[in-house]
Amino acid sequence: MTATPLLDIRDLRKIYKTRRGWPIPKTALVRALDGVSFTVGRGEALGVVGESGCGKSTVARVALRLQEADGGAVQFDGTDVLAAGKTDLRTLRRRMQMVFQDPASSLDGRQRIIDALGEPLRVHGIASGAAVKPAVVRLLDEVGLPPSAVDRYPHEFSGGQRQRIGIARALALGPDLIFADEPVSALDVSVQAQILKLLETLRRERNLAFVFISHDLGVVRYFCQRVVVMYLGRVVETGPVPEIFVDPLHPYTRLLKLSSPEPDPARAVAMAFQEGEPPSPVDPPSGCHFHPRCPIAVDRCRTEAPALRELRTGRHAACHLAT
Amino acid sequence: MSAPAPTAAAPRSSAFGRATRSGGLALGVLIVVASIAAAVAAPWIAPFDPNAQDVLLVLSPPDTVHPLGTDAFGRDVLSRILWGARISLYVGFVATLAGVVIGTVIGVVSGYYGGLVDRLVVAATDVLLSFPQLIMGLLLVAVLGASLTNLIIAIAVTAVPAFIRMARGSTMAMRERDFVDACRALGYSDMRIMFLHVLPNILDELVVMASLWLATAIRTESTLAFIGLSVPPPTSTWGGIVREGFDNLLDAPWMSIFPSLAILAVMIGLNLIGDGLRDATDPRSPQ
Amino acid sequence: MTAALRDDFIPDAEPPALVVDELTTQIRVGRTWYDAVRGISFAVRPRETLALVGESGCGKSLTALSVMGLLPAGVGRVSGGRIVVDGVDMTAADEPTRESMRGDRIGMIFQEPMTSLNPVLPIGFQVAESLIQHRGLSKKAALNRARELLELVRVPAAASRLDAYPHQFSGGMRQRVMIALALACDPKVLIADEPTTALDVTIQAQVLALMADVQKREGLALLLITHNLGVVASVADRVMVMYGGDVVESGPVRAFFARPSHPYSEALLAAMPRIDGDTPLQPIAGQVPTLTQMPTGCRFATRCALRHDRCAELPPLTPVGDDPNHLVRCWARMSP
Repeated sequence: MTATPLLDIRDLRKIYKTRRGWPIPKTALVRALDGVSFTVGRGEALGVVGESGCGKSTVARVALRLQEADGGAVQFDGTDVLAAGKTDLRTLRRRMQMVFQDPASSLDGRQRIIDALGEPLRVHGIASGAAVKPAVVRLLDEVGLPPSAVDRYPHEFSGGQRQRIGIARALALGPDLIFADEPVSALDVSVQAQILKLLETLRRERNLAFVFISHDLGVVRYFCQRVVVMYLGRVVETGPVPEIFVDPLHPYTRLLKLSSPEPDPARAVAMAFQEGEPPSPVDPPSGCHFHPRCPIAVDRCRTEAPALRELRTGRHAACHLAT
Repeated sequence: MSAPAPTAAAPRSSAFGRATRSGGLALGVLIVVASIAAAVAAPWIAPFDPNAQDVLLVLSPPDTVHPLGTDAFGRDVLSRILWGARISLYVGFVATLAGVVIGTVIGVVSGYYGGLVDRLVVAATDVLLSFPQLIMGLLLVAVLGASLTNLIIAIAVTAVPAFIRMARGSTMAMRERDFVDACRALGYSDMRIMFLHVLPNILDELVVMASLWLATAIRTESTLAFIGLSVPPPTSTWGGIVREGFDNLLDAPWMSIFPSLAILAVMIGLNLIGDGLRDATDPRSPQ
Repeated sequence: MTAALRDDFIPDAEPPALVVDELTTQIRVGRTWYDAVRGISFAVRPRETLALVGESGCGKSLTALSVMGLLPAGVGRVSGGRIVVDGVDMTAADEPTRESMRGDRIGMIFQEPMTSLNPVLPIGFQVAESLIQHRGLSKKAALNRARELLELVRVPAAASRLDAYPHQFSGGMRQRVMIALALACDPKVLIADEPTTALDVTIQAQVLALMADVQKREGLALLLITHNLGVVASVADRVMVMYGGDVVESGPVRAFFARPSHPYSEALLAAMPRIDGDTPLQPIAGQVPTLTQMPTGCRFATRCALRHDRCAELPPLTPVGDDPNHLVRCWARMSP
């Protein structure tokens, strides 16, 4: 990793306002991102894991300026992303791309593949006229699809093939960084492995960096070099693979690991009863958000939010009790 | 890396296939196409000059010379209906087209951007929609004066809020789909996303509604003509011909009945088309 | 916890609550009916969990729908075999009998707890409804029982939440309500179709634990439909792997994971990234053929590394080694 990271996210904040209730609606603030910081190096795959509502998808959308941040800073290769004007943003978008979970929804069903992949090339002046088709064929080849795919529509492909098209589109502009939001979650295991292999090849051959958002620790362990664990809008642990999974420092990371089913009867998921519902991001618990579910919580955890501390080289956890 | 060949998805009946299987749609198209053809061909197929008076043949009932009879001035009713169709259908089509285009553009932009502009647009359409459409048309023609252009403007204005609503709602639904975010991430301009990506995806619904609105527009024009707010005489639209026959309804009912039937037939035809298209484009409808 | 239960479980102690014998289910594509489930047989005893596992299109959900008698009319049909639930032959029964069996002696849990509950009716009423219909209880008695059921599935403050609506519950809590609903009439058989797939892993663990606990306590036969071999390893007693409508391997969970024998079972396990240990990921080439393009004989043959000429003929299920309970359907893996 170089000294200056490719992507540097500092203290990122995003607040959603929800209005609920009748007849007098109450405005509630949901802190989807509550001071999130992490960095990604060139060619590095960073995993962002956590459960629904932890803010992991919001990070990608805010960093790509698909939604506006409410605070913090995002630096991409020295450029301030959040302050970028229209022209700068256009340049940035050639270098930061996104792959979505559901390729059926992320592709325009009325566009043939040649148009879906050719359009970004034309819009950004990378190819035009007769040069578009060979460029599209090259992209398709890179993701393992035959040239005959160009004249087809998205619905003519299987789920795995559609995800390959979604990846090809993200590659069209030659990015340095791809945000991948649960890119393999909607796929069957055998197809999921194909796509993971493809992404791994692309990462090595193109020296691509990834922010790989997933709820599946196994997938993240396979694909990523480093991991950020999020819980209710905050980062609770960061560290390299495999250490973070072999010896998790934060009790939430430990719970995630023990809850993830492995195909091994000797390691059945930890199914200890935890009573109650997981806390809602609308009304997060005081202090450490995780304390109501934490087996080792003490009084301090209920009042004081722990800061992310470096506990080992390159390993941080936000827990008063972790050592 | 293996290169799996694209597999054709399970045989999917196309919207077109479903549409052609529905008999109602075919009948509707037949009626409407026949009406348009008759209107276009009026100068050649009309047996008489629609405004030529024949004082010797006043209020003549249908016979072989005048298949639909003559009116109080001895004018041939068939010829007047054929020529009247030109204006009635023209006004209907142009007004609807204008309403669809203006309403859709405003609706897509408003739904895509949201925010304050969207709220103002919604408030404005709510106000406009709270007027019954006929009263609205009546007011506008009364203020602007009765002419072909003003008639078209008045009817188009009544269509605009309905299309704003529809386009806005569909656009907002499309915004929830990831492909709009994908387009933004690819650095496409908002204009490109709105009109090259969102619009084609909501066009189905707009076409269905437009065909139903066309019927409404023609009916509105007929109603306005019936109460005298249409193109000035001697030219007449269908509603006007019905009106002209109204004074002699008991003595010479053919004068009102035949243009009324023409209006009815086009109404039915357009509604059949609208319903047929809706069934054809709705993937949930049974095959 | 489950491991312990699994050890003292004696499979032959009671007659099976669910028997499926040579079930064949067909799906209509255009005007032709294709075999989507081909002659599968299994039995589930009380307190036993049988997992049907496979990828989309393998026929596992169709099997569940066939057992429930919920195949969409005109699109799917049971064309052969028998389904016996608690001694009643469902395939021979008329529709009113089948209807009275569903929700009474067979309970069902679906993947999407959001869409399986009616959003405009209170939770308590929805649980009580099946008691009123199947058991003829009064509304008051039914609501009382509904409260007990919600307590059984550990919904906190159950009594005060009878009047709550589905949207006031989280996903995990809704799935608990679904389990309570399925249990309302003391069924003998519980069919769970991907019951935890839509849930977060920590909630999945809670719901799996709850299901296992309730199942053992109530003596239910559980048919668990899942794509997740990790879930299978955690909660099932026996497993059947399906591919293209065929059972390709079946056996006790420990024997299966100790010695997966069908090339497809091996490939599935090799395609799963693990949390403990770095496994080299081995994708399965190609994809499942569509129903209209299935090869004759072994349907996995088109993607199989061990394919040879004999695969054009469907191999029988034969024991793996000398274990009579562990069966595999593969010419290459047949004991000599």
